[in-house]
Amino acid sequence: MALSWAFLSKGIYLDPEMDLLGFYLPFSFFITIGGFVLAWLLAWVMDHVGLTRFVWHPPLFLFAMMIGCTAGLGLLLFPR
Amino acid sequence: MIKGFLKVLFTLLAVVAASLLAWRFYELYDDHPWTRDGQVRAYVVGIAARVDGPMVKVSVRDNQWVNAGDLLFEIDPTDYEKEVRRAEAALERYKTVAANLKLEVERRRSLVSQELISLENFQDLEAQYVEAVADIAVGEAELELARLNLNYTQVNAPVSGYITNLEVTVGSYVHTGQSLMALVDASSFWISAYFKETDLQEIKPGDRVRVVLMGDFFEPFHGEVESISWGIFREDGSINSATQLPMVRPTVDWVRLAQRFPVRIRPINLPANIQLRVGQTVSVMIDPILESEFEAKKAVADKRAVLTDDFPKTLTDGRGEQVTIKRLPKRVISLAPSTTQWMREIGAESLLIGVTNYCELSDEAGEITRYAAHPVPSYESIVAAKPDLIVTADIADPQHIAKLRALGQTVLVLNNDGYDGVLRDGATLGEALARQDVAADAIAQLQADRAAVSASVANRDSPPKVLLALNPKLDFVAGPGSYADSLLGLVGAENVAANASSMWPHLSREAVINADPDIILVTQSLAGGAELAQAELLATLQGDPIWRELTAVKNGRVAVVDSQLINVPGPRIGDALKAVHAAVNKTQPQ
Repeated sequence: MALSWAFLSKGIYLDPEMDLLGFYLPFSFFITIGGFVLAWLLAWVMDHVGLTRFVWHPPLFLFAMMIGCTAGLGLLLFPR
Repeated sequence: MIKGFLKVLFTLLAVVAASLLAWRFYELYDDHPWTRDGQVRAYVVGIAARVDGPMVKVSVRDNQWVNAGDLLFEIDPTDYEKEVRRAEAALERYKTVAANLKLEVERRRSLVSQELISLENFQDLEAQYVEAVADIAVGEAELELARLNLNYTQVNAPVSGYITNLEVTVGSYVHTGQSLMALVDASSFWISAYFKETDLQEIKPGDRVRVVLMGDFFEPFHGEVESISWGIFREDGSINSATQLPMVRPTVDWVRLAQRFPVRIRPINLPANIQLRVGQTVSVMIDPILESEFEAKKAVADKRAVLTDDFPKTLTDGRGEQVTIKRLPKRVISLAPSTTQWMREIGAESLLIGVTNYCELSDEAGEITRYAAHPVPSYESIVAAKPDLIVTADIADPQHIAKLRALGQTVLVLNNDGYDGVLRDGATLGEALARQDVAADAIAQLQADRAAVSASVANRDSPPKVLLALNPKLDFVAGPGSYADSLLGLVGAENVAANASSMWPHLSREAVINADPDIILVTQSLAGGAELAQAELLATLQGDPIWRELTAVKNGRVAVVDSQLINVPGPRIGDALKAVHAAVNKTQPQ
């Protein structure tokens, strides 16, 4: 919820620490979850269109996607 | 085979991309230390009474705003009034006793010279008189003390801020020194953020900071690192009071926790809807300024420190007076629009505490008191504002300056005499405010402007005859010695009113027709747009049965010049010169 509000009200950014129903969590928590979900969605889409055929080592590929998506989201949404 | 190779390549590419992104993110994260352990702090004044007694009046409510000097509460003054009257009566008695003894001494002085009484007797009496005189001094001091104590029954706010923790009311008996309420100094809010010692290398004074209040997550505001604490308390090494030896625990933990140090942050541009309260929790993230930016900032600060050390200094002002400035001025009143502009130009606008009604200020200036400067300055309010320095220009009446100086004020008069005079003004003011470096930059720019204009008019064959008028009626024009006349000279034009008798002469219509200028310039506000003003002026002059016969009007060689630039002989003289130059050029026959 905090995330969507931040998107709507002030453009794209995160706070270093965010309030999730009274739990104060660092922003890296949110981008990690976001990155994992994003990677998983991408993998699912790739599987459907048949792109996974071109992957040599699926677990390694999924892991790289998760790290890459998390870091990418972090760079994009870094508090500023 | 090829397909297998592509599969490996594709996967490894994804791994490399992920590693690069992760590395970039780590770098960004490492460069921006943040902590959620910050708090809002402010100086809190503990309000206490200086005398005992029951409270008879409390003029404030809890959590209320008060201005410095406002009455907070009052202690029953009855006892202290009686004390004043007692001290007055005692003083009266001491004076009477002394007066009587004085008469006695005078009377016996002649008796002792005639040897009718003993010298011992006389000297005893004389000693009594001296003692009585000393008693008067004691009585006076006691009366003063009694009056002070009576004054202390009224307690005023020492600073502006918020009353808080008010837990006394009318009738409470208060003792000397007893804390009665807290007053939060509203101008002193700062933020203490506790950063791990491992992060401190990344933090420099001057770094920008992003601050978020707990509960106001969508209203982040900015701050600046002011300083980093030089010490915290640690148990290891603290002195045991019984043995006077340092206490050191015998174990060292496997898990080592970094100590954390307070970093002091000054909020900047606090949004109006954010209310800081002492003790609020904040999250703070450092946005470090670049190393080069930091070095440049530091160099400027170091240079400024050297310049500001150079007081007291004596300057020669625009009227040739020697003005001594005792210390670096912090509160400046400007009594002329041109000096206000110079203050802005050298970045000293924040020092202004007062300006005239005609001065233009920037939007950041906030509320600054306006003083009447014309026809007579408001001496009382100016003196009451306690300025360190008053700056004004040649428009000021010498008598008014003399009166301000007689009232103990430091007054610096700038002379605005032509282009060089304006440059000198900037240098003088820069010197007075220890901003020589900034002033020198501004002056260099003005000199460059003049050089550029001079170069472009150097090859002109015959100077055009120009009339510069203050309005389209062409009655008041720029005469010899005026600021505008010097601009005309610099753009290589001949002022047709150069032989007039005053600086802003009133010309008759005949005189204008006889002079028959090649070019007519009229100063006007360009608020409505330059093109429109230009067209309107030409239409006005062409509509006039006499003016339409002038050569300049026939040829359409008529132009407007922004009056904002021409009217104030300040640091915008460079722009004024360029505007006049452009206006003259615009009307050149093709």
